[in-house]
Amino acid sequence: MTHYLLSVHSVEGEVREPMTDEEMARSHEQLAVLEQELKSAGAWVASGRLHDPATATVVRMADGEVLTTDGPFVESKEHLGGFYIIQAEDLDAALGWASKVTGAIKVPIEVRPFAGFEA
Amino acid sequence: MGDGNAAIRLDEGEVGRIFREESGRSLAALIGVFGDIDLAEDAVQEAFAVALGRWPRDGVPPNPGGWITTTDRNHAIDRLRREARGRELLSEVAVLLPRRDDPGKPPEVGPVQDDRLRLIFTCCHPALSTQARMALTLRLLRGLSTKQVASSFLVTETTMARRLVRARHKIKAARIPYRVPEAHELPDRLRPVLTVVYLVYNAGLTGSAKPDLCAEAIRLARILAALMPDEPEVAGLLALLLLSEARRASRTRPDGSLVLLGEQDRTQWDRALIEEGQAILRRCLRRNQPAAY
Repeated sequence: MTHYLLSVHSVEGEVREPMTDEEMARSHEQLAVLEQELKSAGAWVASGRLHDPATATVVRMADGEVLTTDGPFVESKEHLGGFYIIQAEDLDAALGWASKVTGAIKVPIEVRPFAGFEA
Repeated sequence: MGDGNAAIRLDEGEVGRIFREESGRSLAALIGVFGDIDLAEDAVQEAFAVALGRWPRDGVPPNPGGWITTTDRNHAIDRLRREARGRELLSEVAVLLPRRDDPGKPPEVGPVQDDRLRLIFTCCHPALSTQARMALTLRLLRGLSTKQVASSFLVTETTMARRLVRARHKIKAARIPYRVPEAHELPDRLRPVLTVVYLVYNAGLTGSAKPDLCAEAIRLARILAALMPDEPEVAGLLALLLLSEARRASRTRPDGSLVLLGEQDRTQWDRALIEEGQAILRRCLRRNQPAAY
């Protein structure tokens, strides 16, 4: 089994067809079903949704001192909106789960293997 | 280069040609057993070195494919024995390995499914870039050297080596599976495979690249057609390539400019290829399932 990070990327300021309340509700429902499916298949490891990047804080070492600054680490239009960590037999299986996620929330999903989890 | 011994050079060329024709199947089988492309490639290289030393002297073994499979498998096992991680892996695959037998002895008949089909679906996985798919396919299925693949795509050997390393790394790290897709996945997964073969052919048409990519593409299409005899798209692609190839010599003037179809010298067309292509097409037509190729 290999562990994969499915990251949900949002593009800041991108004009999307706003979801109606009904669509939003359906999307949430699909995600809940999907999460249940992941769990019963034994594929689910962790998942989470993040607040927008403006809420981020960066901590770094500068001249031997810890420096705390406001804002995301990388200023970019694309940012991580949420993630799943799953375990899957191979990339095809992981891509299968990713297709279901993107089908539910309609934004691109990046699938990336974790290093050192192969077993 | 220089004025070396012509006889020996010829022999080495011949060894290389035979070896290359046979080694794709061995490589694919080896990857199937060990699940490691790098190990399999190294082992095939070592077997090639042995062949270069032995074949010109003793002659080509009666079953070169079997000889290569046995020799490279033994090299792979030897190498794994030398490494701790390898010994672990070896104990896992031990059950799958037949007895270490005498090289030269014809090998047992392979498994029902030729491993080359798994290999081509791995090389042409949609998670790899199109360029990487083409390069990997030529390198692993057709046994072209990195240098030859690089010159086919007009990039430096370093660039191509990097591209191949990255693709192999991704296959391993992301666990791109080594198997033939199931029936319901096949339409989506076969398309990139056929595209790669078609693009290789086209790359051969536009460049005067060496090695001859048109010939490589046709061999790939033939391998696919032999391994997937019931896929009309595969047969269609092979027919298309054969019919294009039949006219290739008459497509260009000696100065390289293009000759339109109506002005081509039809006596130059290759009748045998045309007949083969048309026979395939007739079989497809009888099935009556028109598709892209």
